[in-house]
Amino acid sequence: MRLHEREMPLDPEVERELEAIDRALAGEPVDADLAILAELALELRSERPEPTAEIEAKLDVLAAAGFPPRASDRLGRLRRRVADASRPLRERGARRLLPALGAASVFVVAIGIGISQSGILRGGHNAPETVAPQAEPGGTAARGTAGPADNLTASGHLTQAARRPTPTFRNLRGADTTSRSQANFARSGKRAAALGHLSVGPNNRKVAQNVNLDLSTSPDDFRDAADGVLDVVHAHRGFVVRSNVSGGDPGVSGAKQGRADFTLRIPAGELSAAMGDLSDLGHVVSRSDGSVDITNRFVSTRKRIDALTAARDRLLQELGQAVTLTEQQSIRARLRIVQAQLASAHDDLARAQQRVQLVPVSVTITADSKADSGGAWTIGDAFHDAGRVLTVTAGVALVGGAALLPFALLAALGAAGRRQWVRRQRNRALDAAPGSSPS
Amino acid sequence: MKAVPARNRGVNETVAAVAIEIPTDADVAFDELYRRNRDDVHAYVAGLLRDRSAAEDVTALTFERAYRRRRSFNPKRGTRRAWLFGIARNAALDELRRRRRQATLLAEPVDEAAIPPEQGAEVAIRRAALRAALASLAPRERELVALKFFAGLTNPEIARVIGISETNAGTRLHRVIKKLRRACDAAA
Repeated sequence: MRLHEREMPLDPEVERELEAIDRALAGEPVDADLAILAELALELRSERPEPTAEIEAKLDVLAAAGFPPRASDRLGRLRRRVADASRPLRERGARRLLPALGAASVFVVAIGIGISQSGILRGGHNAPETVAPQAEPGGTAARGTAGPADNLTASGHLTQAARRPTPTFRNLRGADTTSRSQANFARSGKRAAALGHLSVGPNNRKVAQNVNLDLSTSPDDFRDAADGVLDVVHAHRGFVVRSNVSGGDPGVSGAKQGRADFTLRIPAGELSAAMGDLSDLGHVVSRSDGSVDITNRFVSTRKRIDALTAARDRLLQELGQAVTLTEQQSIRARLRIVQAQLASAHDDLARAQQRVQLVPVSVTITADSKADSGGAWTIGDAFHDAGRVLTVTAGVALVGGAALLPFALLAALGAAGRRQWVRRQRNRALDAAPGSSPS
Repeated sequence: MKAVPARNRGVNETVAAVAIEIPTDADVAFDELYRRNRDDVHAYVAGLLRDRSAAEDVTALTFERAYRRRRSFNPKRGTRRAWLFGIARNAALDELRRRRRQATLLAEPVDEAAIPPEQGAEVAIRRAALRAALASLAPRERELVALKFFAGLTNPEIARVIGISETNAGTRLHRVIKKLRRACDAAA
């Protein structure tokens, strides 16, 4: 019923005549002055088109078959098939549960997205926090260069690398492994150079990087984390220059708080993955990446080598042409000096290359009783994770709703418009219908 | 010791009962709706379309649609009968739309032989006058006649089917009857 139509009371005479028509159609007597009207009503009733016996039989057959959709009505047939298939569920009252099931499935999907986004499955306890790269004095900030240490996402999170194997505890209690590590320095340097991954910036610039990483772990995990550093270094073909692990002895009452300092060298090509693995060992308290452009050092050393090589060649030539013994001795003395300088220049170049190829990484691990334990999953962890999941889920639902809202509005407007259009078309069809009396 | 229930004498086989699909409330209500309104729906559609074969198809289509939507019927929005005739009206108007798109189908000629000869000349004349008056009605007016006199709907039901107020439906109906009376009187 249209709301804009005002309900006006019928004229009493009109109402009386309409009542007379209803009484006449019901076979009841009417007032004498309305007898003609009653007769007209009955005559109109007698004009009613009755279905033939054949039509009645056809309709009854269709009714017995449950009014199947016609062959041309493919959509209707499909609907009927779906309705028939879902009939057992409907009869068990499952239809009433559909809204609840729909809401539950949406919630489950949202939670799934939430969990995947919250990072819990990736080890959310140890997920590193945001990192503020620090510029090296006299150098450029890590972000400004194209070095591998720049493997940071736009949001400031570190990239997660492949998981390392479970670390095993080694005999590192307070041991200083400096001598052994330094012995490996040169050998690993050659190995790193063989990798072919030079830390080369834009336009073949030579960039020396360095990284400082501070981790904290729970006291129970401290020793494992310290072991893990060595495993990571080994896995990424680096070496330990210096390490110092103290305190944090498990099972020793009154042991001082654990602290471990490592100075490492990681091949530049492995830096990104190694930092990802190192970050997994504990909670990242801070990380700073620095880089220094040492291209000038390369260029000047090379120039020096070229000049010294030329001087040596010249001296050798002069030596060949020297006649007197004094002259020869003088040239030989100068030649020794030039060759010593040339060797020194080559050493400088090698050191510079090693500085580029092997990135110094400083790792500090502190046992912190406030830090989360990465081991057993406690009820506190559960609450924490639940809070994160709900937060992310709410965010996902909000963003999803905001994204879907315009489409839903458009769909609703489209449906309403289509309904109006169909109604108007039907009314037009009625107005344009041909006029003749029914048979 | 527990006594084992013995089988009845002479029973030596197990007869499996045939599973019968129990009709739901909606199915029962629809079955009753069909039985009570089949002829009324046909009469209304035939009165509106002026085509018996089309009326048969549209009647079947009406019940097909109603059967499909039988669970969506809401008693708060009117009687089941008004709901059914709303579907019938839409189906009939869709048929008119289809005809407009395809070709203009001429209405079936008036079957003069339909008037029983035993009713006499006077009745035949009055009937002819009434049919002529009906033919002169606009389609919307003819629809009112079909709903009221062919289908037997009450005024509130007519209002619900057409989508107007009850007062408006009564007023329009009264106007149509007056028009028919005048046309019949003029013919007489």
